Amino acid sequence: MSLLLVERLTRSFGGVRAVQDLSFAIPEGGIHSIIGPNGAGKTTLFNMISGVLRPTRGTIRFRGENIAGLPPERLAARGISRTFQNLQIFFNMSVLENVLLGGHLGLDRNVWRALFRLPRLRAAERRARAEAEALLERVGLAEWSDAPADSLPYGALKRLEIARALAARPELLLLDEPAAGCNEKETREIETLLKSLVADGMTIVLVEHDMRLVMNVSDHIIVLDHGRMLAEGRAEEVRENPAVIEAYLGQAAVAGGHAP
Amino acid sequence: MRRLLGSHHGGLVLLVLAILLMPLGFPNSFYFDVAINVGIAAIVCIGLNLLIGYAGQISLGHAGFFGIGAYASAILTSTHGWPPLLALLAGILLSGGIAFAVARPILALKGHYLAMATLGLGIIISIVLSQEVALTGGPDGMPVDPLTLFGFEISGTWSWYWLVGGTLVLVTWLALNLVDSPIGRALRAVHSSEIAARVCGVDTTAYKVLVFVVSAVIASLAGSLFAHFSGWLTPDEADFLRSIQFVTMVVLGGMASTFGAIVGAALLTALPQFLTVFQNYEHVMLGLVMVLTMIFMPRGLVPTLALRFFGDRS
Amino acid sequence: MTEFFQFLFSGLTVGAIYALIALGFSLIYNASHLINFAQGEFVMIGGMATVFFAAAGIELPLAAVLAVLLAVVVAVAIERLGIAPAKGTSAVGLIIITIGAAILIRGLAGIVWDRNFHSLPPISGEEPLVIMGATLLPQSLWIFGVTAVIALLLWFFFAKTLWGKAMMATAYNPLAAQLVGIDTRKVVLVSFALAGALGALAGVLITPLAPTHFQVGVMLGLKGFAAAIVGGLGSGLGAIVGGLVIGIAEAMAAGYLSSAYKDAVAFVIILLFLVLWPSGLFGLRGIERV
Repeated sequence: MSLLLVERLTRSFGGVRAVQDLSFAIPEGGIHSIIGPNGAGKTTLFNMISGVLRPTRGTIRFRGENIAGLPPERLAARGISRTFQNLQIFFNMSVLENVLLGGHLGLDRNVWRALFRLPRLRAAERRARAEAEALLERVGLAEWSDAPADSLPYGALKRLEIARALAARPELLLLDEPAAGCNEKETREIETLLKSLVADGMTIVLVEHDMRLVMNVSDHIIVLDHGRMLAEGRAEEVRENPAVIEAYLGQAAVAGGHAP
Repeated sequence: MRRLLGSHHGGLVLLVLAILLMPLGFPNSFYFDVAINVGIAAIVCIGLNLLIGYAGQISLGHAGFFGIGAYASAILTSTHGWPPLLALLAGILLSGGIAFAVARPILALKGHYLAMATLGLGIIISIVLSQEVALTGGPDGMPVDPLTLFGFEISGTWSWYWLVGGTLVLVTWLALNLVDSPIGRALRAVHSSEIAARVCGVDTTAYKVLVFVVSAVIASLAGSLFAHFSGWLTPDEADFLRSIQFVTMVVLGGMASTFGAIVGAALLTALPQFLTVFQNYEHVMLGLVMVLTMIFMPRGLVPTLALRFFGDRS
Repeated sequence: MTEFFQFLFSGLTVGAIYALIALGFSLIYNASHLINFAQGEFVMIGGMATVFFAAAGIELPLAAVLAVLLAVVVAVAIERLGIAPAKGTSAVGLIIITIGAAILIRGLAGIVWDRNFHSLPPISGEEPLVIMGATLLPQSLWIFGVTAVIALLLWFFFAKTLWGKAMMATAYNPLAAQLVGIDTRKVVLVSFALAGALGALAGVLITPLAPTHFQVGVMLGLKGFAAAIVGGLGSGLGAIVGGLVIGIAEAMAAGYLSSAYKDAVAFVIILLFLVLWPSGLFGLRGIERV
């Protein structure tokens, strides 16, 4: 059974269809990339899978259950986490607190134990802190742990969002352009991180414009154009698909070789 | 010093010390009166700061809950002979109940719309309090019985000072605990980015309702204390200007700073009392403080000073 | 039926005043997405300044003109000294600034003028007209007339003049307006000046019917805000309809239900609107409600 099964998914804004009649399946495990030119509907698709946007039509099945239209907090509880293309860091908290919030659903959320800071809460908080530190270590932000989030450079914030999403221990991780605005070195670090996550059995859906990263890490690529599926397959298959070259890579060539 | 203020309970120790030592410098009972009023306002502001400073949701109507607590205590004890503690709890239930009932639709609003809705709620409460003359004595006010707790009558400035001081320390401790818990982090997340908070699994509506009810309950508690302490209650205590004063205290002291809320309450309560020369200018000064603080110190006194002297950014 | 018309006339009269105040809220909101909680103080200035200028021996019409000018100066001062320096402040911060300015103005009025109630003579005497058995004061006709003329002028200004169009462009998209060369700072300033003038005019007109006082701006301002939201924040037509709706509802409630709760009516209406119909009767943009 597929982990995620999208069927005839459509979302319109006014008269414009950002995503139309889109169907695809994501099996468990591996990195699945969604690519396509700007305006292809990638972020709209992400927003629907993560509950931020309600689909106009269609179903999204996660482990067989239709989750289309459920609010994001319910999807988080079911094991779907995401990052944002335009950073959504909690800038009024420390780096560690951001990660702790990512694990919110696994924490002790009883009001009375919080008000009186009872031992059970303190113990749970200590464990959560240790786990959050470990996650920061994993994304390479260990030394920033106590710094206010707004003191971090851009590339580090990107990784902080990944750590925050991981703190929820998701089964499905949606990453919206994790390498955007990152330099070579940072992009390579993200690549290593993604591979190590998949090695641990996680399923990742990636939206990314950096084609080298996409081609290096993807087990499976879905190409969108104008809200529809243009092509699907392994990296080399997609790369050689004439329709993709026409609609996508051709456009990049026109744009002066700049990664679209 | 920095570590003391920064640690979880260091500030609390300072607060306890200040409450214990301040009376040594008080020349007469007037100072006690002022200190008690500061304490009561500070209790309200700590609750309001959870809502405004941490969760980022404005309320221009919290004097309404202060008024409900105060009048519940006044009416139930003086007119119906209830024990004060029971009346206080009834006030808390009523305030919390009203807050809970309206929180969901109201807190779905944002910015100016939320400001208008909370303002409307506060004004409706204050109009009811001044129009139900048979119950509340109307605009002229009503007398309130003294507070008795477990058979002891709280009378005299010393006992009131310790009672209010103790309550303030307790409320401060509870607020600090709450802020530094998964719930407190969820509230700050709601302030920073609702959508990211929801994606992290935070039921933002539930937390907004929770913090609105908590802040209303705290305001109600302070209102009950105020009613018994002052002995005479008028609807002015629940009106729009009072709501604005509470918000200004929070903003002046520093949003998202529990000790800031206390400092803000202390300044705005004590200054007009001691600057009686300027009595006519009280509103002019309040207005000036509000405008100037927002222009020159938008983060408020305590966070601005903390940043300046300790380089503490939190 | 006589009773009904009596309530309707008084509702329309006060409603037209709310409409003028609501127009001020909408003007400023359109130019800067700001709610100016000091709007009611312009109304107070209109009434109080006219009274005190007249008491100083200035002819009444001139006193009224000077009062309107004073409100314009105060409005511009709020924008220049309070709003402009606080660029980048949060929405809560801006709310606090305008409320602070309102309290400051009110405090100064209580000191510079006084804390008593004052009235002005009506413009065309007090001989009432009798319509359907109900009486209508000439002052009410003046209020209807002036509000209607103002509404037409504003419509002409926004629909036909370059300046008006620039202001509408700023309302829809400030950045784009800036890019095509519109001085959005000036637009904000002009909208404050206009709002000040409208508020003060409302104050001059209502004082013969309802005595003025240094604190009269609080309730009038809040009800004008309520009218603006009922009509749809930012909509000129909405401001006028919203004002009349609130005015009539208030008069009917005071007449048929309880005069004690007259003031509460506007706020109950506003809560219902905010919860059930937040974009208002004529609101264009949807408001953020995630």
